[in-house]
Amino acid sequence: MERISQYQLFVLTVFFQVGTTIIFGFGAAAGRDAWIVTIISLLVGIFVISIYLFLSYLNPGLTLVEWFPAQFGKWIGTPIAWLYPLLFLYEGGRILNDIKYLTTTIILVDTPFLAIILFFLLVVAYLQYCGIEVIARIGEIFFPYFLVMILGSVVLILVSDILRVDNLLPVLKNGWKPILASTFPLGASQGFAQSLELAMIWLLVSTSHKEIVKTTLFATVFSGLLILITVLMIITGIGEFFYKIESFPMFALVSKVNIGGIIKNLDAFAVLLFIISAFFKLSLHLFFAIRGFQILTKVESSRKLIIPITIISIYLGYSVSSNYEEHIKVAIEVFPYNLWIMLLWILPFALLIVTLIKRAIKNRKKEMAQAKE
Amino acid sequence: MIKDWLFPWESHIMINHPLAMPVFMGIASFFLSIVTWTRGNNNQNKSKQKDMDEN
Amino acid sequence: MKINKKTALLSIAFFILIGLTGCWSAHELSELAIATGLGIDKTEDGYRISVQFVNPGEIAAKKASSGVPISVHTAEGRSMLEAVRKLTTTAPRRVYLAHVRVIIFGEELAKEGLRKPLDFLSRDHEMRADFVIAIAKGLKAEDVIKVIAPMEKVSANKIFTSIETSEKNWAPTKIVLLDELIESLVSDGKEPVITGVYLTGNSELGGNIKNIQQVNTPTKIKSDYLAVFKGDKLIDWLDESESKGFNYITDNITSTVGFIECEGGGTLTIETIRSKTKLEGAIENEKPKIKIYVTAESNIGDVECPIDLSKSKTIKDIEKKFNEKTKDIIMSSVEKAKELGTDIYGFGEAINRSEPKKWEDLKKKWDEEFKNTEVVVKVDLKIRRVGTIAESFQEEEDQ
Repeated sequence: MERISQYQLFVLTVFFQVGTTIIFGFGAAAGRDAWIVTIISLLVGIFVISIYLFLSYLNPGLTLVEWFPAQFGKWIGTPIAWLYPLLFLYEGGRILNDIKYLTTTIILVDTPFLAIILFFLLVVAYLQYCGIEVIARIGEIFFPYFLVMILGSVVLILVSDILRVDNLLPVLKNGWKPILASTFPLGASQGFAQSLELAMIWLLVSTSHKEIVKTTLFATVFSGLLILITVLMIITGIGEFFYKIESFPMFALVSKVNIGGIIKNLDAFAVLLFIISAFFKLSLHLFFAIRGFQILTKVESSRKLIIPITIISIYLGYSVSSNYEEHIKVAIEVFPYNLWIMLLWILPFALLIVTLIKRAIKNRKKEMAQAKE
Repeated sequence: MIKDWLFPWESHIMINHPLAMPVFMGIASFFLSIVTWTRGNNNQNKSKQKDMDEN
Repeated sequence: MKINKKTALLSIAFFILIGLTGCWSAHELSELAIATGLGIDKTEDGYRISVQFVNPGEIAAKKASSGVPISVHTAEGRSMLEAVRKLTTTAPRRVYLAHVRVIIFGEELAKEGLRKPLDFLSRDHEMRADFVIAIAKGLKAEDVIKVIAPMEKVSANKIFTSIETSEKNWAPTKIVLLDELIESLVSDGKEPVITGVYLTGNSELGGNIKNIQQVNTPTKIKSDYLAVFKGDKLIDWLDESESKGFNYITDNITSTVGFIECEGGGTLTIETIRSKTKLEGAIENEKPKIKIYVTAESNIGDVECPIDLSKSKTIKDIEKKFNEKTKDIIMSSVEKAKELGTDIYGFGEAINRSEPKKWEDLKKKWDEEFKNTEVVVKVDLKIRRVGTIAESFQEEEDQ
């Protein structure tokens, strides 16, 4: 049986939660108050992740897709469980589209989409063959570099003196409404509530459930702080207006770095950061999708599923969005509402209630049986 | 338009008919569930265990 | 059905080999014409773009050669991109825009509005955002782009560095980068300014190699004055002292010099080495009010009048006088902007920062309100050093 260590779980959780937000920004709709959105989203995220962890405690030995059949019964639970691998597949397709738009707008302008998607998936599919242990180990190797690069860009940005704290003022100009609107469902789901997907691998971690809870929550706070730092830097660095209109705000910020005319044009830095986090997020999405398919179809080996799923991903990467505008519009206005609310909030909460009621009934029965004796 | 509902994951359909995608996923997961049900309960846990070892 | 491990590895290596070459849209250096400066003028129904290229052979040559270091090509088009692409009909190679140092707009175009041409500059992926923007004062941009300058073989570089150094040491110019310009274009509480460049002397000779073969070059490029905009249209120019006042208000002074008249005639020049400005907006009695606090550190740089610097009272007097003088410079700049009715200092933004709610009502009639805004200036300048000679010898000469 495959096993990953506690530290590897931490690394994968951070990569998964930071994901693409590092380059696309967070809560941009709230303008210069996006940092407040980040903080509230983090708090809501911690709450909802605790619920997921509690669910995993209530369903020992079962992964996310097995919770529903176990609690709702075979006939209702199975169709609900099937929704999740489909969602993971779709989200994988969305990440592929993020990659395709970033690389073709910024670095590889004349390269056709298909070439980028194909080569990216080639590596990801190979990783699927290697299994989660290898993905986790690669994450373990990349994580220090990833942190050093973020820290390095923070230092360079601070040294080049482009941050203007004035850009944060006035705070809460339009009141709490736009902040709450971009916190739920988008902010709290993006990265944070999305961590529900990690319930597919919690079983594989070689420690007690208590340690998993600790690690996951610590990782959530950690990635929340990372996001908060980048959001603060972007707003103070490029100002509210550009935060709203830039397609890739982090990229715009990093390319402003100019230290004595020597250290500048660090664009490649930002692209590298993005590619690393997008790579892990995509690998994990596809791994969870394949694992979900495998458990639900009761196929013996998940390897048989890698090629079909990769081919579907190529197709999704090609067809999910026809242009960047629509892609972002779906990400902000549609997708969180029509899929995430249902799958990441309503269904897990319903599951929690059903599980607790069933437990209560069971306990009551036990007590009654004991009383009878 | 029936054609619109056949490819609900495409961005323009997500924007114009936001409900198409959940409906599609619901139907798809129902049909996929048939696979799960017909494969029955043939030693579910055992096969899972075996597969994990293989990986 | 086990695949041989070696075969599998080899085929993967082969795929990666193809994938990692990364040469999909490669352009060899020898196929590119590296543009250093762009001049943009308006034509009847579009733009006329003049591009300054480097002649790589001339720039790299160790020995002095008789050839020209730069060449200029022009093309016209309905849109910016069309004009740039049309350049290929005259330019020998593909135009490469990533190394552009300076973009100059003709005054005529600036008067008509910059919003449209700016879109291409920020949208095109090849352009970096580190070029400086300038306005050709009373000229066509093409005329400025054409001039060959001494010392810096590439004159676009010369314009860039001279704006940069004069911003740092003399303070009447300002480096305006693209994102700052766009930000002030879209902001309700701030209007843009752009440094002007113009030619002195015989402008006919500028494009001729003879221009740099003389000790005193007949045609010089000068950067001075700030162009004041309202929206995206140029409306007037700030002169040297008003430009300096502008830089004081927007906290854009690193170092500058200023003089005061001595009591007994003659002048005393003070070098400011550090300056910091704080801008505070407020609304008092329903009227907008702006407070400007300037703190600066200075040295006495040049004493050309009889004065006893050893007394602390003298220093105090000089400080006081210089504070008044700086205040005057700032106020005259503000007066000019009020006269023109354009808020180039970002007073509106300052009010927005402190009174966001009231600013919402104010911003609709800001053009009018700006003229009635009360401006309070406080200058606190400290003299730190008097130079390598403490006392002046001027006094003795006079006696």
